[in-house]
Amino acid sequence: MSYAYFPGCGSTGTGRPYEESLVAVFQALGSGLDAIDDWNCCGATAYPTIDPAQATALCARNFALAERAHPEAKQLDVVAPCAGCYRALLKAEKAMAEGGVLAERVSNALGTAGLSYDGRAQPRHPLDVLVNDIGLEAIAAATVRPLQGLRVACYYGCLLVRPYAPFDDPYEPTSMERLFRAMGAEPIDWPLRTRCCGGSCYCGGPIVGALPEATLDLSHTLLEDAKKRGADVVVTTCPLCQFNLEGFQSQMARTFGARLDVTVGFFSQLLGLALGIEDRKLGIQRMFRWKLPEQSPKDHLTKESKEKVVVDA
Amino acid sequence: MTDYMEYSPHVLNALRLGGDYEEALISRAIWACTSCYACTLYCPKKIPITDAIYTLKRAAMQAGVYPKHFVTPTLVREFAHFVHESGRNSEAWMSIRLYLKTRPSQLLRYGPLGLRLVLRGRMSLRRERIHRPDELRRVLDALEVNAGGRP
Repeated sequence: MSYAYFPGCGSTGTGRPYEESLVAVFQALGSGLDAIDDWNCCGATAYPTIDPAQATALCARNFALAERAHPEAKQLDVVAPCAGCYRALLKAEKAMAEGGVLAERVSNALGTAGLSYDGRAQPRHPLDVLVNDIGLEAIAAATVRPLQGLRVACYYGCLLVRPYAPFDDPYEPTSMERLFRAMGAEPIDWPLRTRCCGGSCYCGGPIVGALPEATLDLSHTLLEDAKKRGADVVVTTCPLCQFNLEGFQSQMARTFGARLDVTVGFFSQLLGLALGIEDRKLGIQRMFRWKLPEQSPKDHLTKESKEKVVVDA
Repeated sequence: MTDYMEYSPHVLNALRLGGDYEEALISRAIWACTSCYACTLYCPKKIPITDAIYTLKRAAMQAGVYPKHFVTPTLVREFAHFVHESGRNSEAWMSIRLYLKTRPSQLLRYGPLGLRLVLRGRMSLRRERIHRPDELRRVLDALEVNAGGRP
């Protein structure tokens, strides 16, 4: 099955390895991602400050374009990997579905450009599609390099589950943990996994943010805690969180003392590795730091034979 | 993030509704909001507080009363500028323009990080554009306050 795809503006920049790995993973699992023709920016967390109706219209144009390309589809899933884009699209979809003055104004505005959105297009996050459409069984069956014993810190951040969480619990999400457990990993217990890293487009991260010291403090707290809990790798669902957590570790070391040296990647990269996809197709070479513990085949054997003994007993 | 706010989100909302609207408007707290939606999710009455803070930010920008050293209002304007002009955002160009307008000295400080991104193919210097920016502008302009878009 093929999905309509909303790449988002980060897909040619900091989020490039996210897109590369997702496309490779979907292909490996027999699904496709078809980018919406002439898609535009979702407005992110910035545009609602300018005007809520215009912010909704930005998303609605993308839905309208997707629907126009698929006049036959009763329901059209629009896959949006960036958690920020996903939340913006969800918000717009809900505002349009609720109707009322705002929805009417946006519909009229779309009409001035010969566009219309009738509600068939719905945003989906790739994590949702992987866990709930493709399914954990199929993914486990396609796993050729199990992530045996890898301690994964699954970072959800803010916008994947807040304020809406159509496919998970907004307080205690578990989709990523279930996904990586199905591939043999051992996700860590990490209460901070939905805490803000400070890198939202709004705050802009330590680079352009309003409060660089606050951003650095928030991300440092997250990484330090993940490390303390024994994480081998932190995985994210958002290009802004990923870059914010990966790119400023030297600055954290200067500000807070010790070097953390934590590998921070996209969840799709780790998934791709387990599916046996080569590193380059997953954009691993684009990361500032990528170091996972060596898995010796001998250890696997010992572990497996131990498990076997337990089962036999 | 509330550690960096002089008023917590629910207090901001109370100020907005009946306390001291101007105090909320000039607060630094509204600009410290990262729109993480934690206040909205955890509110026992399900009040959309994040949206209320957006309203305050918008009003503060229109009134021109935001703290001058905060870059967020400029970021918002630059963001909107890029979307209006080309339909998409270009991370590199937006950062550069923002620095030039707010803290030019930081360009030197973060130059090496930008270069690392460029070398790893994670920062494109190409200005991203959609094919039909006119179509998008027509939609946005129809919603302009002065274009009769308001009911």
